[in-house]
Amino acid sequence: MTRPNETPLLRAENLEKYYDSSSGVIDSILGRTQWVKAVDGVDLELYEGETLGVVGESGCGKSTLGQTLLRLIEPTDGSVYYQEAVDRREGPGQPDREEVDLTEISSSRLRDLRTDLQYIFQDPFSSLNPRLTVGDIIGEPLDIHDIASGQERTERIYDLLETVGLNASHAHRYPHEFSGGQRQRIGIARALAVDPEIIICDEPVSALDVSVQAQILNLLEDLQEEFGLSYIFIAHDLSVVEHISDRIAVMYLGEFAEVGTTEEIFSPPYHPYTEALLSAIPEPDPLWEGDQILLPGTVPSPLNPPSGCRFHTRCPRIIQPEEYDLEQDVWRSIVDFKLRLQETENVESVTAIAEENGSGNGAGLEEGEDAERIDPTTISGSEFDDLVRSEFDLPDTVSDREAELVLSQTIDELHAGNIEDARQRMNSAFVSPCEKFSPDRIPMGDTHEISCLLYDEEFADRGERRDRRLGTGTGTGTGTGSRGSGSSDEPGDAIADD
Amino acid sequence: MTRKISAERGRIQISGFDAEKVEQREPLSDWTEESGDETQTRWQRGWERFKRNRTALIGLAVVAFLSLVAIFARPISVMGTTVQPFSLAPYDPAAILYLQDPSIGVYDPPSSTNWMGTDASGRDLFSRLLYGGRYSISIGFIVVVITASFGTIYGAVSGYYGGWTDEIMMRIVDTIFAFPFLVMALVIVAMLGGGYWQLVLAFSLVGWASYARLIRGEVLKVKENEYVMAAKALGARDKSVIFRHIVPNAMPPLLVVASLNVGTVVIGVAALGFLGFGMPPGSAEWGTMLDQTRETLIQGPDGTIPWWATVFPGMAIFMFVMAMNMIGDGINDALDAQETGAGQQGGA
Ligand code: SF4
Repeated sequence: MTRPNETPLLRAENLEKYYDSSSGVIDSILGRTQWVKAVDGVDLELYEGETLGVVGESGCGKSTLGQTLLRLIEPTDGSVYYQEAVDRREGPGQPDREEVDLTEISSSRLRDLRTDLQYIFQDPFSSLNPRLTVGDIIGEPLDIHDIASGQERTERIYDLLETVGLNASHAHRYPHEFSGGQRQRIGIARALAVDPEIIICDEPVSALDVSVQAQILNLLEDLQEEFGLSYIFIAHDLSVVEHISDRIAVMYLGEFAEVGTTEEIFSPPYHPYTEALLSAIPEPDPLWEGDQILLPGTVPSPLNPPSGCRFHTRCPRIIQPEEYDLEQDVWRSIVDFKLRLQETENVESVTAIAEENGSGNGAGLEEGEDAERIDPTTISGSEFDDLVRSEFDLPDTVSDREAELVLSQTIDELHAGNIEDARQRMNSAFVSPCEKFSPDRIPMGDTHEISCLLYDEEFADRGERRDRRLGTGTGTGTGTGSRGSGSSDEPGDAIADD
Repeated sequence: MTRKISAERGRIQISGFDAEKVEQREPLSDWTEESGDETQTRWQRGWERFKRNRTALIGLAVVAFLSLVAIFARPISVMGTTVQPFSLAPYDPAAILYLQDPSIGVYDPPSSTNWMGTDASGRDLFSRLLYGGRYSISIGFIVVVITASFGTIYGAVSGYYGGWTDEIMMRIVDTIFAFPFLVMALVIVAMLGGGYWQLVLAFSLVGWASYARLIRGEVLKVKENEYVMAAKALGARDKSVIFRHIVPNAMPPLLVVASLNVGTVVIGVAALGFLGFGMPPGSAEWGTMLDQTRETLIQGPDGTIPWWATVFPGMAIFMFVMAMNMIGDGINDALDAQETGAGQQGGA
């Protein structure tokens, strides 16, 4: 995404943060290192005066991203460029700026730059030192950077308190005497004390009551206007950032799934993940039933992130291989079945999970059956077949003949206790391009990027085909959609041969 | 192209929620912003609780009494000038009384002139006891101050930096823990020879490790708090992050352990003294006094047992250590109550 006539104030390139998850010295000596990829190759731009919302479920690495951007955590790789104002002139007009790579500079230089780059924390209870008075908390940045001392310092603290809507007399109190919203205001005042240019707000309202949330958001909004701040606003749901952001980045498992202006994010074309997030925003309408797209399961562990597109384990629109012609939800169920097989060790768990967790996948067993584990060897083949299919919400016969054949063979093999064969059969028969190829960032407009193979020319026609079938219930042949292209058959064949 | 500003942006309007009504309704609790008029620090609140604990206050009184008595037992002079002229002890603790007054013998029972009797060399036990507090008590406090300070710095550095630093530093601590406390102190004193500063050194060398371990654990806990990250985000140096934000918050358990440890060190010093490894023989340290009269535990010179020679020094040790433990418990309770009470304040 480019904005030719403007350089971003803060720009991250291929930012990565991997954590070493090995447990202790012995492991690291032996090289048994496992990396948790909390942030995995993120590019972002923040322009002056704007608010960039970063949204994602918990555990997707958004806080790590925020902290890595300011090098509160050392990034594993990548660069963060900041346009530092040199020679700040008085009065209006743009100051001259000079690019600094935050990941390269020395720690003392970085300390100086902290006056420009600030952070507001999520938890207003643990982000204020309980042993310091509010005055000392807000005064700390003033002391560190020698901004003010003595009477001037006191005045500045009083000013800041009033700026964020507190009272100067609060300076001598301790944090525990304040409510969550007030504490968050103290945190904001502390960040403002150094007169920053960029503030990264890490879920600043998620710990607060809804009514207080709005007050804090409005305060941030006012401060942005007053001091010309740029925000990166991290949140876990889209409804919070909707009002405050100019642009939004949707994050999934350490990567950006979609970046665009707020309108672009909130209107089609969607990334399937964004679509699911949007569908979860409740409408203030008592008759709202919600056209919710339920995402199965939770965010997978970043320890072994899924191959290809990281969202493929949960994506409702996961692309079908060329050779099949299935309804989308059946196809999704087949993939779920396949993924479950990859994880399990014994045949029972393919059905046993159904009993313990009948609602987990939207599938339930018939009444009475869920009381006890069923040993697959004790029931007949057709009963077992039913059990497996109901666990994954698969119809008795799948419409595509070829797929049905593979499926019933797999279930037979499972019934015979042959889990390894069943796994291999599924793995070779059903391979989505989404598992094989990582989607690139595909520009949808000047300011809009989506990382999803559906929007990739190579796979576009299949997406179209699927869309049409979903719409009409029928459908044949290859896509003729606007984005379709002749090259589309090739990757499909490659997959089929695999 | 020029920047697009979202049309949706703007202040959030809340409808269906009357903020004024909420502000004016009956308060849900009696907490108000103004209720905490004079702000109390944590330490003040802790002290309030401590004051209500009678056992702890008795302990404090006993320790204060023994310390004052030790200070005022004999005059103290620094470089020729007397800074403390009082002399509570009736005799010089080192004076062998029968040389001056032949009526006083060895192992005289308590009498009106010698309140606690005399010891094997005919010295006044009462005077020695008062004076002896100077050694025991001061060694106890000095050792604790040294070990706690060093251990705190060591543990804080280890916990704060983590990784390899932590690994190596903690293995050193483990090595020290591999030896029993008293045995190691004994070996060191035996190598260095007895004496006041030798004792201090020996107990300091073995004592700091437990503080280091304790503080490291606390630091690891406190480090998780966002205010530590916040201080870094403000640009604070490591030193100030550790000593302004981490260590003060790791202090309460340290205080408890330190107060209990004073007693431990005093007993340790007495034990070494009793084994003949402490102060030079003849000095008025409590443990050494016990050692000097050890044979009386079995049989006195004339078949009677001069109980006063062992009971009074033993009592002094017992009282002091007991009192220190009472104080330690009191501090523990005061700070504990505070931890549980403080979390609930504030609200959302
Ligand atoms: S690439 Fe495939 S799995 Fe990933 S979001 Fe797009 S359709 Fe879903």
